[in-house]
This record gives sequence, C-alpha cells and structure tokens, in this order.
Amino acid sequence: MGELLHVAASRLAAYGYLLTGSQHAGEDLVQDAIVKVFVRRRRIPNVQAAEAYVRAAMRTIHLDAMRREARWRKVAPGQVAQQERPDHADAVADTDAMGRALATLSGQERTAIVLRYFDDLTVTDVAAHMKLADGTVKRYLSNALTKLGEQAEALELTVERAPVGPRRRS
Amino acid sequence: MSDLHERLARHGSDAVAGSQTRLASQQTSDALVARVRTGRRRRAMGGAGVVAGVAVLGVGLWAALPGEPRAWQPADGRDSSYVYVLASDADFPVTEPTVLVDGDDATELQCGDTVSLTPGVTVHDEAAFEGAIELKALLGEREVSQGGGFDYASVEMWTAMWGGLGLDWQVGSYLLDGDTVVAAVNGIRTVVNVADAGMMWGGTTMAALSPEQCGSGDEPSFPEYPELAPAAEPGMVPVLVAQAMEGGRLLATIVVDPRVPTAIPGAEDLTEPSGGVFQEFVLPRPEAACDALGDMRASGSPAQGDYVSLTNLGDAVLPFSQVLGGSTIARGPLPDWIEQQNAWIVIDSGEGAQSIPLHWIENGDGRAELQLGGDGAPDPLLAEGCETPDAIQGDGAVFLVVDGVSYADLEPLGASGLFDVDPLVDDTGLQTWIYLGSASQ
Repeated sequence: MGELLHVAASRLAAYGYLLTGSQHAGEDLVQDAIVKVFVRRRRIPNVQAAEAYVRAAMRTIHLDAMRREARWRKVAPGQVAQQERPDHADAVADTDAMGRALATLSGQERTAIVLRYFDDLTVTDVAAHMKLADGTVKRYLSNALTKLGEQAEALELTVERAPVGPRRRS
Repeated sequence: MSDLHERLARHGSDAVAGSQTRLASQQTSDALVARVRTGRRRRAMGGAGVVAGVAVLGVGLWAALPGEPRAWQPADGRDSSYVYVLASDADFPVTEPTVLVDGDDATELQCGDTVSLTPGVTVHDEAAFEGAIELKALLGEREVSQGGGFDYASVEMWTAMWGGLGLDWQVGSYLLDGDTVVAAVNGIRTVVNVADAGMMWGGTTMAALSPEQCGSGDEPSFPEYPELAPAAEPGMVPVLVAQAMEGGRLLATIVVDPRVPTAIPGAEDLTEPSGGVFQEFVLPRPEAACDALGDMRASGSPAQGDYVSLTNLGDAVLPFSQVLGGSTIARGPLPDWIEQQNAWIVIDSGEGAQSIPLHWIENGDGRAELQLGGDGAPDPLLAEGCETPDAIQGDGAVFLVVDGVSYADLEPLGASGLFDVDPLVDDTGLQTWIYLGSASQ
C-alpha cells in the first residue's frame, strides 16, 4: 500500500478530482477505494495492478455514491450535501479554461465525460457502469460536449457531437 | 477527441497539487492501515455491509393494509413490497419485546438464537401509538458490483424506508431456518429525529443474507458479495426486523416476513403533495377508448400492485385549480422525461372519473407549458368516433398522467431493469400517474 501511494498517489488523486470535481473529495475517494481493495485479501502482483484495482474501485464507489445521492435527493431534497469546501482545485478551475468548462457540467455529465474520454470507455461500457441506457449516456455526452464546445476556443478543442435520438413531440 | 483526454489529464494533474504529499504521508498511511485491519476483522466475522442514508420528508400517512398470507417465493426480478403502519387508533396489545436488534451481547439477536418472531407490528409502549410509525420494505434482486471491478452479481436485497415523529430506528437483516437464526446483520441505526419538520423518513439497503453470515456491517459502500448466492435455500426465509425507539424507550417492533405480505398503497391510499413532492404511480398504457383513462380510474387505478414512488417536481406543477377550463397545469422547467410527452388530466368528479388531454405551449423563452384543452395534437387514447371531451371540473382525486416513465424514479424500486429502453427515444408502453391532490368545489 505504501508503495502504491508513493508511486501513484498523484495520478489517483487527479482521477478522483476529475470524477468528483473536488480535490478533497477526490482524496477521500482514493482512500475509500484503497480500503475497499485491500480489505479483501487478494493477490495483487505489482503496483500497476494495484493502481488499476484502486481506479476501478474509485469508479464504482463514485457511481454508487451518485446513485445514492440521486435517490435521496428525490425523496429528501435539501438533505444531500451540495458543495464541498473550496480547495486548491477550485482556484485552478477558476483560472484554467478546462476547469471552467468542467465546472459547467452536472455530476452525471462530468462522470460520463471522464469515463468516455479519460478512461476511454465505449458509450456502451459507460452506460453499463452508470447503469443507464446508451441513449441516456449519449444525451449526457452531447449536453456536456455542447457546454465544453462553448469553451472550445479557449480549450483549442475540436468538439465532436455524439448522436442522440430524436425527442417525441405531441 | 484524444486532445480532450490529454487536456483532462493535464488539468487533473494541475488541480491536485499537494495531494501526493497528503496521501503519501505517514499519517494517511497509518489511518488507511487501521481502516483495512478493521475491515478485515469485519469480513472475518462474515458481516455484510449496508448502505445507509437519512432522509427527511413531510408526507401524509399510508393506510394499514394487511394482506392474506401466502407462500414466500424468491424474488424474480420484480420486488415484493411490504407496508406497515401503526395508526393512532390501532388496536394492538402492548407486550414486552422478545428480541432486540441492537443490545449488549446477551440480548442482541444473533446467529444460533432460537426465536419466535411475530410478523407485522408488535407494540411495546403506549407511546408508539403517537409516533406515526411506518415501515415500507421491498425485497428484490439487485445488481451490485464486486471487488471494485467490473463484475456485477445479482443478489437479493432489502430496501427499507421507515418513518415516524422524532424516532430512532434499529434495523437488522436475518435469515431463519425454521426458528433458528442462521445469518444476522444487526444494528443499522438511523436517527430520523429532526425537530419541527413533521413526518421523518430514514432508509437503508441491506442484503438478504446467506447462511453463516453473522456480524455487523458498516462498510461505506456496497459490499462485495461474491459468495452471496440467492438466500432462498429450501426452508430458509430472509426477514427484516425494525425497532422504533424514542428517547431510549423501545416503542415497537416490526417484523417483515416475506411469507406474510402486505399490500402496497392502492386506489384510496394517496399521499397529498407536499413541498413540490408528488406521489406517482407507474401503470401500463391502456387501449384507446372514448375515455380510456377515466375508465381506468373508475375501475380502481392506480391500484394495488402498481409501482409507486415520490417525485420532486419543485414548483413546475402549479397549485391545482378547481376550474379546469383552459388552465395551465405545469410550467417549465420540467424533467426531461416529461417534456413533450403526451399528457392528460384525470379527475374524479361527482359524476365519475373523467380525463382530458393536455397540450404543450412553447413560450417565447423556450420553456414549455402544459395546458388543458385547446388545439393540441390528436389524443392517441381517443378511439375513432369518440368526441373530444370539453374542459372538466369536479371534486376528488386529480392526476397528471404522463405518457412515459422516469428511470430515476423506478431505480429505487428496483424496477428499472424491467424497462430497458430510453424514455426520451423509445416508447415504453407505460404511463406515470402523478397525484396532484384532492380538488373540492
């Protein structure tokens, strides 16, 4: 565990930040995932494998937390914590075009973008992880890319649009 | 968009300055080692984890609906629902508790105990009748991830919500082989005591156990259940035991035994809207007729067996007006799954249930409004040769019917897997009936 933290703490923290949008929440996510992975006695051949385990656990814990939060937000609006305390990442986000762009995304949109474009998962795999229909993920990605596209000039990105099915109209 | 991958990586790296130092510190390492050791001890005890949450919500009271006993059958993907309510005028005997979900080692319900659990509500203190005690439970299959990886296992889970006025709850999951406890997870404590907020709700999700799982679990996320085959071995029955307390006094015990089901709320068990939160039901869409939805309501819909949940629409749905002609029913922003779906109003008037189609009006600001009557699109539920109804008014229950369904609302009920389509794109064949309240002239 010590070797893992020495070698990969920064990368894991960055992944946690991208998922959660908060440096502190990202660090907490890293620690929760490490506990989850190491509580279970299993053979982990090397530190690279351990990092992969922890990243997968971070993704699972984050998605579980999002689902729980959404569930309780429905039955108890106002009872779910809305904001983490400001941290270094907020300062970076304020001055960084990517940070400003990410800040415009909802939690679901942000997660979909990170899984699709940072983890390089397919839309189908993103949908499976988020337990959503493919079409719903495409909609999140499309909305997110639209928002990022508004920052495209600053980001110097070429925004590609994911196809989304048509809306029904009465 | 490989450049997006690189920009995300660079931004993430820039944003976490200091994290390497904190996470790799001796203090963090020591804390993690301690947590891992604690977790391993719990695993060695065989404990299963829980997901716990606390919710506070003002809602009305559900009616007590005792059902006929039936043989318990394993969940088949559709949940079994159980509802228990202790009304203030209930006629229950007051008895001493025979089991404790959470106590010292000598009194706590544990593996190996021989018990006689009485299904339903058992009152231990007269004060229970004043506490508005309610328990709703679902037993069904859930997909849970294993080991932080990509594998999902289908396991049987309890989903429980409990309510009351200023009560603490202790909840445990058990597996019985006859009268013997062969698996137990005790002591999930949820405090739903928030002053001056009316009815309180708490909730948790916990595994229906496999034999020999004994202990207490408080892992922070869904636990790993690779060993959890369906608990329904012959003769073994999963039960949920919830105990309501007030100020340390044990008021009542509720034993949810799947062999003794209760009914979920039916046609006459409607929860009044409160603070933008509405009760909603999911029903199959009927065949076209002259008044298909009015006929459904008149025949008892929403009815026992429908999926029921609460949804927060904020102030998008306007306060109900008794004068329905030309009224605006809802004004954006509405949830995506509602906007642009076909919609109707159903009302119980003095002359029976009636329905009338709604139509969307696009405002200049891009928002949509739902209005009664007018020149909307043809009503897909109006059979050929039938006349479009005029605006209606009356008294009784009023529903906003939306031709579609929200996955987010179905998920807590474990029902989303039944409808594997995107409601924005595909036709689910389902309707959502949102109870707007009771109109009176």
